[in-house]
Amino acid sequence: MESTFAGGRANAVSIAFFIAFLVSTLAITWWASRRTRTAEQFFAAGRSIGAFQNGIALAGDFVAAAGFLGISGLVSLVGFDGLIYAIGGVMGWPVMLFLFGEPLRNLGKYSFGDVLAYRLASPRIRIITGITTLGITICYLVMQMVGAGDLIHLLFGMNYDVAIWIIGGFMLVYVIFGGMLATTWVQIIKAVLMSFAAVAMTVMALSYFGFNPVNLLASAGAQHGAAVLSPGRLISNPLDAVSVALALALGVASLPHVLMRFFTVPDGRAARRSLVYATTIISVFLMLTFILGFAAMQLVGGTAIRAMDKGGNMAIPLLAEKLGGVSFLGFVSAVSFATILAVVSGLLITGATAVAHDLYGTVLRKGRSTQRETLLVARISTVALALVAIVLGLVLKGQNVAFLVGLATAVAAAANFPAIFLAIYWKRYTAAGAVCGMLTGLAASLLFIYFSPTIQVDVLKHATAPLTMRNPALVCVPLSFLVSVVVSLMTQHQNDHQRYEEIEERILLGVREA
Amino acid sequence: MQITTSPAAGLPTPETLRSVGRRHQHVALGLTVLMLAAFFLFILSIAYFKEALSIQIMPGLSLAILVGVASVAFALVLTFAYVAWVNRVHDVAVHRLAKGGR
Repeated sequence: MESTFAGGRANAVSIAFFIAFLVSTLAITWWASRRTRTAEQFFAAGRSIGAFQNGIALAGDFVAAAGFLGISGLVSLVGFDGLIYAIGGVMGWPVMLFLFGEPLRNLGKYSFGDVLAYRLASPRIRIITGITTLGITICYLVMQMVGAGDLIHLLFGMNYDVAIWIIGGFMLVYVIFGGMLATTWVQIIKAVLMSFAAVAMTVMALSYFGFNPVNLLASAGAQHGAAVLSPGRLISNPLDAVSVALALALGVASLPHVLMRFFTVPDGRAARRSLVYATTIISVFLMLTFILGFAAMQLVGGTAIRAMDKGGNMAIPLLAEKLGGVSFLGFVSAVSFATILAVVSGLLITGATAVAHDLYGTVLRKGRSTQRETLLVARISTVALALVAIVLGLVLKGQNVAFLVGLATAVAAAANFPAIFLAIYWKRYTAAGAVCGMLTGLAASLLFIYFSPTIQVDVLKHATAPLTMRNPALVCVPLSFLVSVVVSLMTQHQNDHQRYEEIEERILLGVREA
Repeated sequence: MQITTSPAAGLPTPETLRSVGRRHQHVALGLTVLMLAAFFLFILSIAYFKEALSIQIMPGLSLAILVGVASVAFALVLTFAYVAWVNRVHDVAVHRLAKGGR
């Protein structure tokens, strides 16, 4: 069975599924474009997204190709270890629900920069939120582009450069014409298709094991030894492990493209409900990827998976072919492509919002820009960001860009999380504290990663690195909190407390009463 | 970090928007601490108790897998506990206060 894998070249079914996806998403974009005439419609889908729909879209943002193919692939090769950090990603969601869900929606308009600017009565704070948002978004975009180019080459045998241009072109069309509305619906369609694929595959795979996941695990344990069922070598440095855990739990809760979805629903209540849906979907999905990973280990085998891709990314496509033949493989491949498109579109619109709304509209034009002007700038920055992503995607072909995700999550955890948290929960927080804290978090994370083995050994190929830890969160998050608190205490103003009382009321009641 | 608590705890003081907001803060922070504590416990147990976690309760079901699944289940339990509280207590109070002016 290993030698006759139909992937790696285009087959009629996958092309048919993929074209069907593209045609339907273009139809949605056309429909959305007629409802995308104001800034509110472009950036926040006119607040028209329902809680359940938004929950699916949030989950879709999170369970990207890395979640669907990457985690199961890792499990199929190493077993239990593949799961550890995936569980960390799930933990970020309840944290986001408890701490940020409602307050953020009630305080902000389109971005978390709004929340800080309003809370601290300082429009210029957006310069920093804009920079961290753009930085995080571009890191993610580039990582997705490079990963996508490789993946699509593996799945369809398509040329890497062509794949990058196709992804870049479609994400541009979705965002520029359909704004957040189209971006959200593309994400929803993809998430539904992916859930269908995952559930169908799980049922088919478990049919080989009497529909009992424990039988599957027992068979894996019997064949590969008990080691695949227990922790292995992944966590060798406990400090690093705790640091990664912290980065995941806090960073996921502060990723700008995730936070931006809070503003697409009508009110704080809906934002909260959408987070509950998202957490549930993500948890269930994690369990499915876990089962699918072990199923691939047993039904396809590590040798065959490694032969296609050392990282295990082809485990799911191989399993799909084994379970449902070439047509099912075609479906799963098309869904994987769709996943990438949906995620990069969400990233693109987040970056465009940072430029047009935060940096241009509020900082540069001091809130005096017209709807038309803001929309025009949003569309121009969409094109510019798409070009940056495409060019970097082409230039970085074959490079090791895995560290970009760690970097983006670390910056989110060390710069964004303390700022949003203190803005909502601490009444003595000041603009100066926020500026210093965020800059410290940002600079410390960048420096830390540069001197860690992630860059020094993996990328620059030096023998050793000045730091032994790879993940900056454990150092940089407390540092950012410390600087924020100290500077805030040094720069107290008379009316800060009053301001906070106003905020407290708005957190509970939303915008109308404020 | 300092969160001022309302004085005269225990006495049936009338609810204000402020006290309701404070109570929500305490619940949110408490649940976050619980969530993070559980997660760090999970990570540290993997780092320090590898042998214990490799014990199989029945063929296929190792303690590690059980603990992993339990962590995710715990996250869901906290999520739904929070939602139940918010719906039954918090939202009702906010709604009442918002209608009554203050």
